[in-house]
Amino acid sequence: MKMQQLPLPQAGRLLQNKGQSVIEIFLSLIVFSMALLGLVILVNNYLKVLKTSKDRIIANFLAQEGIDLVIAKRNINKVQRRNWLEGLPNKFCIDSSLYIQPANNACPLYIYNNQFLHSVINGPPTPFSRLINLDISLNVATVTSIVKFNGQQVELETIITDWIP
Amino acid sequence: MKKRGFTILELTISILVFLIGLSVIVGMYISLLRQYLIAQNLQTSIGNVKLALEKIWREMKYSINFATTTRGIKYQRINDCANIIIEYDPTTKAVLYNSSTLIEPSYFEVNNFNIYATGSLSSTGDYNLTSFKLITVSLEGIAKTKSLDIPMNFQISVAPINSVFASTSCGF
Repeated sequence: MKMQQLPLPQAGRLLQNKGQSVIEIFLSLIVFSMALLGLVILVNNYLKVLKTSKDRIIANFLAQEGIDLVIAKRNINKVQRRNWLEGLPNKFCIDSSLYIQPANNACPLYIYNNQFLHSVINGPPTPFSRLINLDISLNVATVTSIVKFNGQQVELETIITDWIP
Repeated sequence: MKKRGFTILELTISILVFLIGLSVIVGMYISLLRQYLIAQNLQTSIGNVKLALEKIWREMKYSINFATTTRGIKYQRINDCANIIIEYDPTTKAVLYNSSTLIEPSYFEVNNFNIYATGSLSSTGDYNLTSFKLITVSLEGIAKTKSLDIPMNFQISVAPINSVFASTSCGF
């Protein structure tokens, strides 16, 4: 019986193809996992940004609320035939119970009965604090509502007037 | 011959190292997908609530004839005289706008929905004293993100434009 032999060039090639070493596989895995880790960090940061944007949306609503609270107070003053800005100092904090507190710095907002309030300090604290600035000039006042949260702030401004119906 | 291939021990070690590396990578990939899904769902939830609250705020600003209901508020839109009822449905944990879902509970589950109306005064004089001067809508709920639930509080307050005039007409 005759043994079948591989042709010489083919046999030589088989001996030369020795595949990847353990080190090579290990290094490629490290490089690949580092790239994937970068992606994980990226998505994680995206989640953090989203959480901050959630707070920014709430802060925007609270800043808009600050302006509407001043408008409501002005309307109540007018309806009750008082001075249109009675009870409103130049710098103050106001909440949806229309509780007004003169202040130089933003007052913290607490949650009470699901409401954001300044007046109830025994509720759970929130990261938000709010200050209203009133710049009065004759029959026009500029209202600036500033909401601060986690080292950031949202500022909204509008003009209100002493209207005569 | 110098080239003699791999021993069983070498192969076992290399497979073991490969499997350990692979399990780390698969773990990271699963974590990546999970975080991405949470982020996507959170964005949808927040967007849903934001749009709903902005719609409520804008409509109430320019509406008349407000009245509170057992679970919400009703008003009349000033431009087309449409009657709108915004209510909370505790069974489905959804906020309804004329019986259709305004805040989808599969994205944001509302656990508490409150409306506070301020400034309804005695009706004398030239002004519409009985109308609400300030309406506060507050809601507390959970942003649903499949694997992570994020509790949130939102609040808006509206001083309706037409709250001080006696006119209750609409359609202009």
